[in-house]
Amino acid sequence: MVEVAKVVDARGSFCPGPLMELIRALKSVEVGQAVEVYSEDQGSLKDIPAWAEKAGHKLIEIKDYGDYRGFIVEKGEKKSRRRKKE
Amino acid sequence: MADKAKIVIIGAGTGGTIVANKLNKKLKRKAEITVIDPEFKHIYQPGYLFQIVGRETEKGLIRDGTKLLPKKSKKVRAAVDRVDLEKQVVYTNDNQEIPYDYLIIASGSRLVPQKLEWWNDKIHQFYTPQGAAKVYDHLKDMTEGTIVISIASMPYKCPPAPLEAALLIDDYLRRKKIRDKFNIVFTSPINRAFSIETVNTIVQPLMEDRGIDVRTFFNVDEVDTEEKVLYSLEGEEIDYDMLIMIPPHEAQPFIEKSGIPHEEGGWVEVDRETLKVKNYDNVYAIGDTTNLPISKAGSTAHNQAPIIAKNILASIKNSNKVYKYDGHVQCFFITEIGKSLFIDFNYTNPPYPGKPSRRYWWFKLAFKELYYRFVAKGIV
Repeated sequence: MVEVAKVVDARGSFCPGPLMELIRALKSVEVGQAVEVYSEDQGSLKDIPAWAEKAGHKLIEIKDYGDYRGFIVEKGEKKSRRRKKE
Repeated sequence: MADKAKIVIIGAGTGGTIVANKLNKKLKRKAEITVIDPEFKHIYQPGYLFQIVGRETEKGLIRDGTKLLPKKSKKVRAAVDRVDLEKQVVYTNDNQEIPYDYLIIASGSRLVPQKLEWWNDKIHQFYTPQGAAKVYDHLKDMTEGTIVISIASMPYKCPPAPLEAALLIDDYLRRKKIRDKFNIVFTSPINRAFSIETVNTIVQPLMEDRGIDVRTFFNVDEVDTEEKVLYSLEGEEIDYDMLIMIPPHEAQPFIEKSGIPHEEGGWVEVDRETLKVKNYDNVYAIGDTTNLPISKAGSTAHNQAPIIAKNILASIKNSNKVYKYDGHVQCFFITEIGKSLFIDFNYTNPPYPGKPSRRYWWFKLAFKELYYRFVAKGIV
């Protein structure tokens, strides 16, 4: 089971708030750890899975808490760059 | 409370200036208004977009802020060091102590590119008069290449501005008949070019029709200004010849230092309707400095100012009446020289801007003088 290292409550915030909160939170955890972001914005259902896939992170689960959802995203490896700095 | 209510306003930008004038009109002799600002240099910031394509000058945008404020208001030329919310005193960095009965935080946002270790002056920005002038100086000498317009992080002032910049640069190059020598790339951190979906349905296709390469889900990770490459967190890379980036924004440092309720970045937590700062009945925040999920723009402050003025007046009169801000924002969105959209929305009604029109362009063009003559002075 992936460890949820950080929970971010982005309820009351609407697009692009929850996604921006997730991006910020993922910067502060290690690869393999997960972040759960709470969102009540319907747009997150589309935005967060699409962004996670593009960025190379793994959407583990979308929890339904009734009035809001919890998106659990596991941090993936940083994508390699074409030109690496020496 | 003494005979005259002491109202202190931190910041003489759009929000602070309009609210000072509104209060002065309503309160006459019932209050003593003090405005604290380090410079009293009032800048008409929408003009930066005209500057980047050589249609406005730094001098044309700036006015003496003291002349826009009520004559009888006290003007304190200093930066705020901290606020003691319990003692109700503002301390300036030159050791003045300014007590208040009502406080209005109108200290705006500040640019913090220094928070990004890779930022340097090879990256262009147009959120200062000097930066905007530099963009034009560089642009006018370019004959070919890739111009990238990008957003370092959210939130930032005037959400349409980077999109308008891309469209205006496209227009500028077309007028010079060299557009075919350029690639224009626009990057957006979210899954569309503009955050408000009803506006995006008009603007993103318009940008794409004009040959602007819109890259979505592009969150800036780093810039290599030697190699001229922009990297995203999502693993994309863009080579550029000229990079124009919206720098990160934060609220003023005295907010965190004073323990004023705030979110990350220092954005003050306010009630979205009364505009009172969380837990404080006599402290308000206006404009960019709030944590409200609406545009950080002059129009927002313009619509909030009368609400704050009326609520303070009601409090001074011991009335229970509460005035509420409905989230109203309206702005022009330039699509080319000669055409603009008009965007008008509030907390519950999204904007439906229609098509770009010449009428709104003329209004946008006239607005600088209207702003300085009527809006800033609280007349409209």
